[in-house]
Amino acid sequence: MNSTQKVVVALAAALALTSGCAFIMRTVENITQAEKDLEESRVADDYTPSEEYYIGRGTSSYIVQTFPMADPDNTKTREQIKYLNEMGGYIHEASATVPRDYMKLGKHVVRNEDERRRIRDLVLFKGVQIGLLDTDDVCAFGTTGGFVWISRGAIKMCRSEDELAALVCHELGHVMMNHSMDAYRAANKNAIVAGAVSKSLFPGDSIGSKFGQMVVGLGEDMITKGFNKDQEFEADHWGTRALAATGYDPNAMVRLLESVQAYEKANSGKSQYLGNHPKVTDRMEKVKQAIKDMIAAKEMPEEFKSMKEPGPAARQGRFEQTFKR
Amino acid sequence: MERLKRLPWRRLLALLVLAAVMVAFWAQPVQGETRYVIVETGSPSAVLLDKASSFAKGIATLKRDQEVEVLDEKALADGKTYIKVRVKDGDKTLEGYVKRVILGTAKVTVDGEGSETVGATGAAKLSKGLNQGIEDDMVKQDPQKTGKAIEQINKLEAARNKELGGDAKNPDPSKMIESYRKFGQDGRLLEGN
Repeated sequence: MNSTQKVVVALAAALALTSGCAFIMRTVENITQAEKDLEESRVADDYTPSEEYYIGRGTSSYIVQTFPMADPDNTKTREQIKYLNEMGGYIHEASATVPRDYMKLGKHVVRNEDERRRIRDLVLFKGVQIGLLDTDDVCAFGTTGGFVWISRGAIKMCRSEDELAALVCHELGHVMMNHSMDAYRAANKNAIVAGAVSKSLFPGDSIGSKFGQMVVGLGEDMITKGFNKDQEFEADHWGTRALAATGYDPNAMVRLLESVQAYEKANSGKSQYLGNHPKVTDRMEKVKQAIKDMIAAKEMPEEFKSMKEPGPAARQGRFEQTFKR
Repeated sequence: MERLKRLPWRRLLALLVLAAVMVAFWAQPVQGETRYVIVETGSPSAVLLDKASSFAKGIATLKRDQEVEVLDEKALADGKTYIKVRVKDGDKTLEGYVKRVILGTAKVTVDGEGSETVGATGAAKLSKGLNQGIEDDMVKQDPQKTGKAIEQINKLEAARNKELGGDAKNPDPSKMIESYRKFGQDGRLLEGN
């Protein structure tokens, strides 16, 4: 090889090396940017407990506008609010062992690792808060940040403390599995146009207006559309397991659904809330299966395997005293 | 070859083993790491417990953003994870347990526009930012309906705080936990009635 050939070969080698390096650098940059985008997307989906609390307050504000809140200044109502919040707080603390970060639950729930992490690490900024709605309509809502709303009509439908606990467990299931935030994240990411009601309330462009459109839109959706069927089944499933973990009778979930069925027959089409749920018969079937699974896995307390009664007199007594006339 | 053979191989092996043990020791999770409380002061979870269990006795109230020193992480048989921590309470230094999920790696920072933006940049930052200031702004847009509804929610929170935590604005988390425990015991849901 003469000197010219050597120079050409050297130049070609240098060029190839430089191109290769540039290609590698660009690839590395692209990967780094992709990682940054992914991380940013994760951060955008991760809300602090306080952020979820304010989203829950905003959503609740629409619920309270739709159904009047029972006044805590009334002595009897205050006693009822105290009872409900003691029950909610007790269930929340005592059910911490119940798994909720399913990757897959039957045919209904499929989650990725980020979603599981968010549910596993979920913590309520100020704990559980249960409000009483002054309406005979049968409705209950579990929303973001620990807020649960239960109507007088729904409580009237319950025949025992264990049935009321089943209702609270179902709604807490929605809270602890962050169902309400699924809709908020989707709305935030896709900038879905806010619903008609929220737009009319918050026509402006300020941050507060945008926040108002989002959270009130969420409340509007919760009342008019409800959660999707998978989320309802999942709340039933978690709720049934939570009943067993907290010392209540898991069969109370079946009895509650029997009461819902009876209410539906007697009041067809009168409750928006019930109309949004899956068929009661389907729900009962899945709850019974969850109970069978607990028995098979020896997770079901022995005393509840054949229990048909409302529960010990201590529980029934305080329930009657607080809510029944 | 003769020189190599003369080397004190056994001593060298012992030194290597010792070095490996020391490296392994230093590679253990760092104790004494700092974490911050991410739940609100007065939340039933914002409490230092004497034991690592749900209805343990509260020994100190924790504040939001309070620094805690991680001493040990203990995954209990019930699946719930508590962390042993050390906190400063006035002049005293206390040790106890907290729920793992109430601790974050950073304080919640609030930027100039009043947004909470923990770790957020770019588009993520724009999508965040929900706090009291933004709720106040929302209420200004619709004081008649949303404003009154928010007042109702405040009233509910004050009633719960007063009845369970002894104070409408600054509830005592230890009292709240005690009221939950009593509810469980009175209803024969928990042992110890």
